[in-house]
Amino acid sequence: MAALLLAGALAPVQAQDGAACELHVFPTVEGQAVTTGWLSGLGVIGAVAEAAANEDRNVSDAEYLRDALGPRFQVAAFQTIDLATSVGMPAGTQVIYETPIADRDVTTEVRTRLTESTAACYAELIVTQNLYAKRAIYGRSLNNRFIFKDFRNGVTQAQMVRGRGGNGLSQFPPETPEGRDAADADLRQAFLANFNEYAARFQ
Amino acid sequence: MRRWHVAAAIGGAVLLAWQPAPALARPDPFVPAESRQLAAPRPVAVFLPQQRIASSIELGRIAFPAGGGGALGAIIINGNNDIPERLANSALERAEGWITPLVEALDGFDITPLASNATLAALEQTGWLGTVQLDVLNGEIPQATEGGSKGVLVSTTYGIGLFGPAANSNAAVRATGETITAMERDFAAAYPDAAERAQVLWRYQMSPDFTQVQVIADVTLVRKNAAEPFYKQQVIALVRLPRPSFVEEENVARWAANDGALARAALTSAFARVGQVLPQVLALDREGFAAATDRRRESATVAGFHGPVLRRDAGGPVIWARDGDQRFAAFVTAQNASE
Repeated sequence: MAALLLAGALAPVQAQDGAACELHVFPTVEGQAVTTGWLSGLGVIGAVAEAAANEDRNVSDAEYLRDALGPRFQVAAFQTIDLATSVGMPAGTQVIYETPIADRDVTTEVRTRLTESTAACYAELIVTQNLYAKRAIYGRSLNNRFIFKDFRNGVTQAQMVRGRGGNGLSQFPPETPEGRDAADADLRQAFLANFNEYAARFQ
Repeated sequence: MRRWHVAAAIGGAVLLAWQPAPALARPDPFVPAESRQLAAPRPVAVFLPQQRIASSIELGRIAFPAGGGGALGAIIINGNNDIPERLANSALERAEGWITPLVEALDGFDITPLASNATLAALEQTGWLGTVQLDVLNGEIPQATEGGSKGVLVSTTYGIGLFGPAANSNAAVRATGETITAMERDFAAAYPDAAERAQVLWRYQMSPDFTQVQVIADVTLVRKNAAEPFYKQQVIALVRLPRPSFVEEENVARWAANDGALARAALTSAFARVGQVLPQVLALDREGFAAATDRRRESATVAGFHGPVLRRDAGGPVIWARDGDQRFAAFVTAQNASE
């Protein structure tokens, strides 16, 4: 598994081809939640009534999601897999977790490096969406979006490999305080499943 | 939960949606060379509305709670949607809990000389701005307690509104705005005959993840009897914590250790850095500002901000950063804290 290093602790690791490779990972601070039900199909009155009925739930779910799947837990989830290999980086790549960037114009549009690293073998993985949705027909799901930017081979303006993953949830949100552990595990499992959906293209 | 009166909401929201926006002229980000020197120098005020370091919050995007109802439904729901304010309140409450050890460690740390010296440093190189006899106005933002919003919040974040970015306003943000407005009013009253006044508003806060100390200077020029400034420019100097944690409490503990030694040094450095950068920013005329903010210039990403580089020196790059979603545009410079 690639080594975990926080930003700033740069101790180059030699990759198999002799170059020191770095994968900089930016988790997201985002945590959106929206619940809609059958009433939303009943015109203006239904939609308004449903928005009112779900307001407390949308607030509490968003807060819970931002907490239970905040940056530190996204990082913890990524640490359980071989992240660098998942996005096609060579073995021995150093995985460096960066503090999140809130400005979406920066995370989703900027094609140059988001760090001050000058490593020749360099790439970035950015989490750009963290959305919980509960729909009347489709049920509960977690949706994540990701961007991979590859600066290897002298690239200075990287192409963005954008993609998403969405998987169902069975335990989140918890019905009782006792259900929190299961709900948290459910969220993080879905997060990894979403990432694996996205990362399948690199295999 | 807030009561939703559907019938009243329909009428109210529709009326609100079609109210014409007040026509406020946007201040220029530069002062033309020919408008700089006045017959009588401008009085210059330093506004210090805070008594202690502020928290900040980052809510990211907030999902719109609508699944149907068309345009009319969206307008009504938007008019009654207080999810952003509730999320802002709870985020602030959590941040205020985290920041407490740092606030206590900085107890008695007076930023007045830091702000005054930085302002004077800028004035010394920008003679046209105004007199070096500074008026220092200290305020005290009241601790907000309304509607669950408790704490000091000096920056407004924005969410995706139905009609463009909408402020995630809460009582704490409103209290800051009212305090600043009162200071502006007092300064204007003190110089009723001045053709123009120069104001430097200083704010300082932790970043939402407590990885940065941020000092924000807003320079504005206001004409006599005008409600809004005709010039406004912002400089942000931030100091980053090396090897930060994703756990907020751990970052705060490092800033707060040894009576806040790291935070005190960071604040001292950040205020001084603004004083270094301001003269070059104030010197920009129309052409200079256009050149400095030209996207074809060399750009850099610094501590999450991105934009064209104004200059590089021993203090690091100074960039022009914009965030349309957050209605943010400022010259930003970043340094690293050293433990």
